[in-house]
Amino acid sequence: MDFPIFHADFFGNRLLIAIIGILHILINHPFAVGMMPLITVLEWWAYRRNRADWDELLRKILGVCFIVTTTVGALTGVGIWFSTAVVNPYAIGSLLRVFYWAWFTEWVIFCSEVVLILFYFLTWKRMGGERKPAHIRIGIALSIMSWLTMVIVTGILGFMMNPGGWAQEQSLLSGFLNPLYHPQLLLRTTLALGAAGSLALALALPFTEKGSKLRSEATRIFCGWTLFWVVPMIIWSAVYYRAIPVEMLVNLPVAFGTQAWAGYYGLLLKVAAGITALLIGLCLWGLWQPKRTNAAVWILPIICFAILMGQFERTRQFIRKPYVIGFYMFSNGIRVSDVPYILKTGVLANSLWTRHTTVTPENKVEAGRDVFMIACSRCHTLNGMNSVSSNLARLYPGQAWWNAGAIDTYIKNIHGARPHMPPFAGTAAERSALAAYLATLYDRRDLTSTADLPTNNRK
Amino acid sequence: MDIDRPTDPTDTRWLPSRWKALLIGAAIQLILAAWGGWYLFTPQPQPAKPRQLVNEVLIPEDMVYPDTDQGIKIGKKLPSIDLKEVAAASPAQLKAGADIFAQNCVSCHGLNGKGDGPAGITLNPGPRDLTALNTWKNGTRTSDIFRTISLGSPGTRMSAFDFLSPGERLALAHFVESLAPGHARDTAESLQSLDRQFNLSQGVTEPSTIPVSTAMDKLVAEAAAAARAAPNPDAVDPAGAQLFREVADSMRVSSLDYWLSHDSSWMKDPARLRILAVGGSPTNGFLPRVGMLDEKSWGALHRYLLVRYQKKPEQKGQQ
Repeated sequence: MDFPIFHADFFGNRLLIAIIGILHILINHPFAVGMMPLITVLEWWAYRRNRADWDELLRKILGVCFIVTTTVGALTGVGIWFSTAVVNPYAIGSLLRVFYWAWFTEWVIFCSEVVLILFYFLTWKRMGGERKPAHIRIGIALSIMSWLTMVIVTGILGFMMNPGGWAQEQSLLSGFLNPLYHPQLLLRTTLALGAAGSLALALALPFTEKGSKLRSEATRIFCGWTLFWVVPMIIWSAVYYRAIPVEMLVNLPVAFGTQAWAGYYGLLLKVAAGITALLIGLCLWGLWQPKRTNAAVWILPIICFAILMGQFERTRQFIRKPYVIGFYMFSNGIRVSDVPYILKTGVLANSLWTRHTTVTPENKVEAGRDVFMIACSRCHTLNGMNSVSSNLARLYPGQAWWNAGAIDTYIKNIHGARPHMPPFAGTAAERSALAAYLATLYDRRDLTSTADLPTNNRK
Repeated sequence: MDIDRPTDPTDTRWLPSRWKALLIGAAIQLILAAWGGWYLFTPQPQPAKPRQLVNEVLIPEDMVYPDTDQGIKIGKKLPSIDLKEVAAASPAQLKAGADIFAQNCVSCHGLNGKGDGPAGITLNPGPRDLTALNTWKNGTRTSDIFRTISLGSPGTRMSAFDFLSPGERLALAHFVESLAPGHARDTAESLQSLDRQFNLSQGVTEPSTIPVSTAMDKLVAEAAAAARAAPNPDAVDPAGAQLFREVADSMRVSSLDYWLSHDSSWMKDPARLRILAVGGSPTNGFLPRVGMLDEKSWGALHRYLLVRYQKKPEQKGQQ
């Protein structure tokens, strides 16, 4: 309420964050956190066994990872913090207050990681023979640095679902070691290591000859590596599931399959289990019969992993609702503890970036639009993705029903009817202004303009 | 681990390299599985449910102070209802009932009362189909409908619509009745029992209401007063307090506060406390030296913790 309002009405602010965030995870986990230890271990193994062909294969795989992580990976990583800070500055501000030094440390580690991967890849050929052990040590340092970035960010991610002891203690450590910390760290670590095996399996295809000994060896080793980490990954996903607060598990069907697919939750679960089973089956097949298969099959495991990782991220992001920081701040940036105060004093009166600070009969609809922008627009658009007009159209299938009175009554108890919605925070006058504005949307379904966003009224 | 290539290819050190790899792999699997199993099979703390937020709170009239409280609404006497109105619906009532239905019921029960409202999709059990009388569980007479509207249906999301006046509830009941044919008729006795329960023919006084913010301020003030009046456990039992300070990890007192006030199974049984404190999570807030306590000290610690945590709920309001 103290910040200007960024609003992408076409695809919504949530999707913007989701695209950047999921893309980052799809790169970070397999290409960096999981791949660096895999390459380092195999480099050492190839060196001990004196296998120049393996050394060359690993260098080529690392080359792909080097380019992808330092371009798209780095850009999306920074992009997450920029997009979330623009969309929900209150949430990021709260996290910054708690994790101030963690953020600082994260940057130092990230810089070390980038420098090390530059060294590791660019000196691969130069540091052969006598200097190979030193090169492997760079790989070890790089693996540790990649993992440490995860060690830190996981603390912040878990905090957003359940701050745990921080609610009482309010210290960096109590927030960092939240109830989800270890489950999520172990799940992500095993997931990243397993996914790296599958990615290497796919990347080895263009760099090995068809039917060669190197390819069948690579298939066997990478399938085995994947399988080795999939087993603890399944255990730790069960641990993670148990660590989710029970209040949030009611969101699971909608979180897993979106509102439109919530009814097919059981089916979607079976699909996810099927994908995991396919992954395990393919890896077993690769261990047993690495040669007798069409090579294109070995692209499937990393696709399975990409689906599982994307689905996990979507579910994790949605299941926190109605909170953006569990039990502390609602999705629209209003702190839980501030709700009674805002109910009493009003949301407009406490906002800087709004055209109207009070509701009068003359400005009712206009003020309602300001309330919408402050209280609803973090998640809802007017006519784009997850739009209020489509939600209202499903709720009130005709103009006779789509009226301010009915909408007002619904908003009053919206947190009771929908467990993932926060309670409306504002005075009764603001609520009826919002309802009056939403009622006008029936005739203005083409409205997508963001040009008339509220401006700073205190200037 | 030795990174360098062995100068002598026949040098296998203490184990062949393949066995070494297998051993390390098995150790990693075992540690990950055991640690995960420990998480899965020990109770994990859950966050306290935040207070349910409602927009208005009903409170008894004698607790309302009009001169100091903001936003209060003093209740007034509502007109009495003729029992004949309950027995038969008037067109005016049906029209009023339709409006009330549209504002309060349609989102879950649907436009035609078929239980297919969009807000009801995610509910379990789902909203009642108001036209399928054979599925109703609280009776289909006007008096039964009135009762369900007034009191809600426990165990479901159907809440009590007691903020509607008795006249509005009656109009709504008649409208619901008009959605499908085949309703049972009220008898003289059932009407009289409804009258006795809701004081329809004498008229009721609408309760006074205050905004939730005022109610919360009152609750906070009351809780703070109660916390001030409650005994300080450290003053009641200084020896127990000293013992507690010795075995509790001062960095993790909030973790202790958390699970000791949420898992009450230890309150009745010192042995259970011992199991939880020694055998529970290594980060549960007790120092490892808690395992060295003798039987007598366990009893003393249990007595002290009872005093400390049984007054916890009252303290909550201070925050």
